[in-house]
Amino acid sequence: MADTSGAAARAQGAPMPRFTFDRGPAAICAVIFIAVALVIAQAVNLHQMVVYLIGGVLGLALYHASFGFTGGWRRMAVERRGRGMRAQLLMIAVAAIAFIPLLAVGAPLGSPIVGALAPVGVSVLVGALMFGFGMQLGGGCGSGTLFTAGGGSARMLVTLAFFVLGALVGTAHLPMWLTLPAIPPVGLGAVFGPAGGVIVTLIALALVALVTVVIERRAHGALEAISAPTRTGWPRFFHGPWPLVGTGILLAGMNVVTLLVTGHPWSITFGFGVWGAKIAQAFGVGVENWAFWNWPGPARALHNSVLADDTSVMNFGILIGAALAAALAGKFAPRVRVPIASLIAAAIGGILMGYGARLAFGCNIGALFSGIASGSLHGWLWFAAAFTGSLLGIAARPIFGLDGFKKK
Amino acid sequence: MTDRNYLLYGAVFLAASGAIAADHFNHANANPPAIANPAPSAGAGNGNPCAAANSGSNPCAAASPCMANPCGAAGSNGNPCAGYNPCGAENPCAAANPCGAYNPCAAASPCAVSNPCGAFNPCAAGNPCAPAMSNPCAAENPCAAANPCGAYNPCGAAGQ
Repeated sequence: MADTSGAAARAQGAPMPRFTFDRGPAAICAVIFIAVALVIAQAVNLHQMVVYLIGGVLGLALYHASFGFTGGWRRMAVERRGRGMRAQLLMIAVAAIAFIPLLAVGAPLGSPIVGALAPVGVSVLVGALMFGFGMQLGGGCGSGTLFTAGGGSARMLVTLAFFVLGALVGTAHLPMWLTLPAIPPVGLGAVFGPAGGVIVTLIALALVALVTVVIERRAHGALEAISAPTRTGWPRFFHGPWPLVGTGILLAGMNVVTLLVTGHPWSITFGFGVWGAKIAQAFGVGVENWAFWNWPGPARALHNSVLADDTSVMNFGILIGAALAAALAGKFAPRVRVPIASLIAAAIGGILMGYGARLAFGCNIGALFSGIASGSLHGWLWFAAAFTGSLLGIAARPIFGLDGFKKK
Repeated sequence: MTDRNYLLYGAVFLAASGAIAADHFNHANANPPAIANPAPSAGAGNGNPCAAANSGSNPCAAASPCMANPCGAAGSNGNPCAGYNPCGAENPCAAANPCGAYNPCAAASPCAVSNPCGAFNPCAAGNPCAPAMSNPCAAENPCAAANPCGAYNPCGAAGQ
């Protein structure tokens, strides 16, 4: 996204680039955004409307900053540029500073809250590996798929559809995967105390960031310079691009808000499983007899309205928020010719991400972001396995005509 | 407008809206159904939350019908525990507990995304098996008749 032309032009006294946006789509998206909020408030309750609005802010932020894990990891692996990864690590660190102490309190606002903790075992290892591989083929991770699909990428609609399918299949197999070796959840906050848990998490994140700095300096001699924005003030707010670091901090804050409002951290892929199960059920598939969909939480989600499911409603908010952001940026739904091989990669990537996320107790948001911020050891296993999977996925991209370790 | 996929996105939006509306109206007013019995276990891992392996905690905790407020005005017509009565003939308590090894209240846990532990949190610092006064559903606990806690005390020394 580096663009120095605006800065150079302004230095010569040239005017700021005009703020243009797709008026029709922006107006429609804004109306839809507000209308859906009101419908949810009426159909469910105000609490659920707030959950949806949180999703909307997330979608707006993710799109305007292009805050994607997939691209950031690929830049690190291919170009040895770590700015995107470091922004992600900072985001997780900021969230952890709040999460771990809040989780230790247990009910900071009166209602109990719980973190994203999960066993550390084979299912996380295999699932995250699959997810990391899939995200490079699919073109986006959990949040990336949502905001790019919402922003108008037809290819990502394919990824999203197969993501839902993969998540559904994952629910059928998860009981089997859970019989494989695993140790109980390890919460760093419980092991080291809240302060110790925060310190250990921050040190570990700092070490990973340091590794990215060392790699980048060795490859390029210096860290990537951050170019001056082409817009400032309100035009930049509405049109983007938003700064990575600032957006990362905002996303961390919104995850804390999610934790306090819903009682659990931000997650994405459970919603995909619910959508897949409901669609399958509508076509006569007896998912209500599957073991997973008889566990209390999933059963409740399956039998209740999808608007009563926090994760689903937040996902809706992200999709519509991203659509609004894209329209404001003048970039909504560009018609781009997508080769068949690329569509196949999108489908395969989506299935792998959906299935892998189900096994691994979440995606980059639920397991990596929320997991590590909650002080869960499984989040770190997820990180390592998914990054490894990503490297393999990058290597496989050229099979589908996509850029791999070497540019096409 | 020929360089934009407005038609595609319009169609997707309408289809999704229709599906969500249909789902909402189908489920919003339905009585909370009894949860179907888990599939008979051919071995471990059928997802039974009442596994014997989870003897240290309240086997009903993660599956507490109090989360869906059967004691409230919109409560179910029958015993919401009926679907997974650990005292039943097949004893679903025999199977491995997918929730035993990890926090059933975790966000990404298959056992609870909408936080079944919300009203009384078995994952909180306090004892989830605390006396009835701290359990808002205790007075009319629909689990009472089929209380798997009755035969043995999960709230003993090993209780969470």
